[in-house]
Amino acid sequence: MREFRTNDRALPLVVTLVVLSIVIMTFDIRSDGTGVLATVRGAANSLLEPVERLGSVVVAPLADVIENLSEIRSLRDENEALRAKLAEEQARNAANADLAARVAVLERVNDVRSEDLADYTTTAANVVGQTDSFDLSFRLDKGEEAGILVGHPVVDDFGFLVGRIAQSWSGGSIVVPIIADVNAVTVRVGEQTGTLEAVIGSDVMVFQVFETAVAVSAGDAVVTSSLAEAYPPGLPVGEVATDTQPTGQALTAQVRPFTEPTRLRNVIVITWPTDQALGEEDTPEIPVVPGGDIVDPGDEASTP
Amino acid sequence: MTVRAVLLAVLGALVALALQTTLFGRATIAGVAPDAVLVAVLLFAVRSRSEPAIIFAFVAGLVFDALSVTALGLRAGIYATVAFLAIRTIDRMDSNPFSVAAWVGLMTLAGVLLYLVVGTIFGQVNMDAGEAMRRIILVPIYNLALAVVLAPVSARLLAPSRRGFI
Repeated sequence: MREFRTNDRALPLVVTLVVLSIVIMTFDIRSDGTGVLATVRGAANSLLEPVERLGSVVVAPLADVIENLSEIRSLRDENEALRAKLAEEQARNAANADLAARVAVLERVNDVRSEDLADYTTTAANVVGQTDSFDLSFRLDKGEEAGILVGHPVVDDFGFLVGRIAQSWSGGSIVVPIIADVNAVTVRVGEQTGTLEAVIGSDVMVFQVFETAVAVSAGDAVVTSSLAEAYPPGLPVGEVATDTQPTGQALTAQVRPFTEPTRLRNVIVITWPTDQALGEEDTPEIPVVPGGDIVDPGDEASTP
Repeated sequence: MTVRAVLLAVLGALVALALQTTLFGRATIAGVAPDAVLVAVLLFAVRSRSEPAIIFAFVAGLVFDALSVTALGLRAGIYATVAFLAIRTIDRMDSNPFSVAAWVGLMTLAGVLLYLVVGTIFGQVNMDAGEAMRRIILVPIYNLALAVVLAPVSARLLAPSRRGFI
């Protein structure tokens, strides 16, 4: 065992740095992800982008191997379950095809049409990785240079809602998934509209309706509502997990989202609102708040 | 500390940051990844054992904060504190790679606990008790394993003239 050494200047230095870090942290939190510190953050991301890109290319095969090894058992079980579900969905699809054809005819006759993903400007991007172990937010390999701006909705390959852009810079961006967002999403289940909120540490979300609620059944589709300002209407989000009856006039039901953020490899970013483009002066700033979540002051479904 | 050692440490931190956001951003075991940047900070502290290690830790933490969505300064303060603890305790360790690795694991445990406490106070941690416990247990173990591999390399690169690992 060696002799214990003391260092006279180390203590004042660390105290100074800790105080400095608290000051920076306070400013960053209070500035809501805007201003000088947001610029510093963007600059750091842009500067280190080449290093990360190089790292991504070099380690991608190794990451694939580790990832596949760690997921092989769960993938087998999941495959079995998915095969069963596929057969079920194929039967349902056949029935839906007929309904879709009838809807198309009715829309044409009535001169209305429902929007789908093809109606929006979209940008495909690769998921580079999670921001860190303590957060479900993840990074994309495209950012402002591809027209991806803060607040843009993100969906997966199937068009299922994933989350929205929390930070964007030239060369990359960060997505906060809905299951880690402090903001609720305004959604529709059948004919009723309510809010869908994340539950800390859970992959299940909570759907709430406070007035004249009716019962929901397991498997009922949950889609974004036309009342949602942050997302286009009609995006599939998930399905009701269990049959749930309202209590009085209110309903609280569990919803299982369709996407699992940790398994995404590529996503599609939607330019929403559709008139929002890079360089517009009125581009809304959506500040980052603690835990990697974002707060949109104008969001009608913001949680307190 | 020589200029060469500082440059190597900066390079090591950049590699650790790149690994953290690429390899460990995707490849996790039991949903948890090691904190490669903290390992780089601690291995530098082992060889430096002076104030530059604390400043280096602060800057590395600040850059890591900038690359994630947590508040700027959170990791900076925690890494600086851990580096301070590191240079105050390293002399109590034996000079072999396993001893250094165990010490890296302990220091990581202190870092993770600090992160959870300070992060919760500032509203930066969004996880339940089970998730937090998983990280408290797994991150130090992963860092310990990383340090077993990296301690001899860093000892040879950062201070080749000095014998041993401390």
